[in-house]
Amino acid sequence: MKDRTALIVGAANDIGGAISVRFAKLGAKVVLIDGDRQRLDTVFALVAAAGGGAAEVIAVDGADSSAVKKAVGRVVNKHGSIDILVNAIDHRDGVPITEGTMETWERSLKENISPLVSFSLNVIPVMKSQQYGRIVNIGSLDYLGTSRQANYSTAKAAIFGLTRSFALELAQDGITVNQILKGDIKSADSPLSPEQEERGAAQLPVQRLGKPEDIAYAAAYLASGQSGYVTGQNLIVCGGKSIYSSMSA
Amino acid sequence: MAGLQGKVALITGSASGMGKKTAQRLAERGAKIVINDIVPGKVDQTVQEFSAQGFEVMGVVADICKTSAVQEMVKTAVERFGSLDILVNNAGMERAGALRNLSETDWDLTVNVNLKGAFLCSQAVHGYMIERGGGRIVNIASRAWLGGAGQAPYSSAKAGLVGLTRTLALELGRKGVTVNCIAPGLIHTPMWDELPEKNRNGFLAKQPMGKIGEDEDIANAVLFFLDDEASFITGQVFYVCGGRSLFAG
Repeated sequence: MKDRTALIVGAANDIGGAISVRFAKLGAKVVLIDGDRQRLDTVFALVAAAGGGAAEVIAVDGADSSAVKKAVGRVVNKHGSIDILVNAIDHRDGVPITEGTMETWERSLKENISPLVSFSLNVIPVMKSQQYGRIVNIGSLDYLGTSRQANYSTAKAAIFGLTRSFALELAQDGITVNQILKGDIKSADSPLSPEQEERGAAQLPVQRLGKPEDIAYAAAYLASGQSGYVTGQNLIVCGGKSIYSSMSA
Repeated sequence: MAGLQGKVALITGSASGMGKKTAQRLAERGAKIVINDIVPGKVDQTVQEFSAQGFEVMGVVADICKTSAVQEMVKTAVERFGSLDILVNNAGMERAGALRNLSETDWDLTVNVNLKGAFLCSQAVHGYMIERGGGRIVNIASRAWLGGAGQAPYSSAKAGLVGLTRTLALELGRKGVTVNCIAPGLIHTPMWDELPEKNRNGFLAKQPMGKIGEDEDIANAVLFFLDDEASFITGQVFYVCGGRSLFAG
């Protein structure tokens, strides 16, 4: 990953942050992207402390297509390439069906999908011209369906189809497109009481909840030169939870 | 990726092909290697090659379909190296043919080597892993577990290996042992080079990437699952197939 230019979209959340730190440690030129400027700066400090001297921050609303286009253009002008795109945006509102409205649905789909599509559409032509690229989407095992997360589950299911379609269409351009399906991850973004954590861990074959670093480890492999024959795949990082589902192999 | 310094790894069927490549990569990262094959000359030669590179290596000629041979192999390895941390169930073979042409022997041989061997080896080593507080088992299945015309015994055996992977992941998860499965697609072998060009082109036409993989691609994926940092990944089937698994047929 040394000297590769990596865009981390959603860098301000815990998983995007952990990925940014890991990629910086591996020598990538990391560009941290998120709408939340304040949290981006916090992650930037962590990346800098991890030795990511070449890192930079771009605060941009991923749903604003002209702003995304400008941001990608800025990165290309500066670095001359974009080798890695990680889409780590993740929003869940936990609204039950009966309390949901068209507004909550549209907001959820837009927040989860639009930045991913928008950055992909702008970055893919750059990767095609290089005949090299790694796109890693952070999905969730909840795409299989889950209570009180219908809109989130729907959005993540969309990413499933998108990942596979992108993978097929770009397979001969040296670009791989894969998805990490995260299981139950303990992070500051989704705080749990000790009792909730204990209960959650007890339900998993490995008897512990995941950490953002578990996802970052997997992302590093899929974003590296070592995974060139892997495309369109789901890498499920869930402590074995997926084994209980019929759709996980 | 962290090193594997001091770890002891048994790779079945490791005197040639992707097993040998995997063993080589593990040795380069500091693991002590147990080479296994059923053909004595191939084992001796691989051990010599590895020794010449300064690796800690031993060879065991054993038929992994026999309980006593497997137990003896594992005992010898533990006596020599003190433990066993990693098992890669790589040994495989195929008797292919249309349903009407297959014999009972074809079925037994294929299912025994690919499935029973993995069961016996896992059974023999898991106690040592638990004693050490954890371990890693990686099974080499095949994309063909999804089904392949003319591949009844092989496809069935590899599907069995998927079931074994998921079951052992559930049983051993709380003991710190992860169990995962890699499903390779078409990989470059000496047999591939011997195919008439017309046949090769027929296969390539069905490959989304328009190319086949190398032993190195599989070895990289195995290393990914073997790392200490992969502790939240278990019970997974991971395709290294150039996107071929996205297609039916």
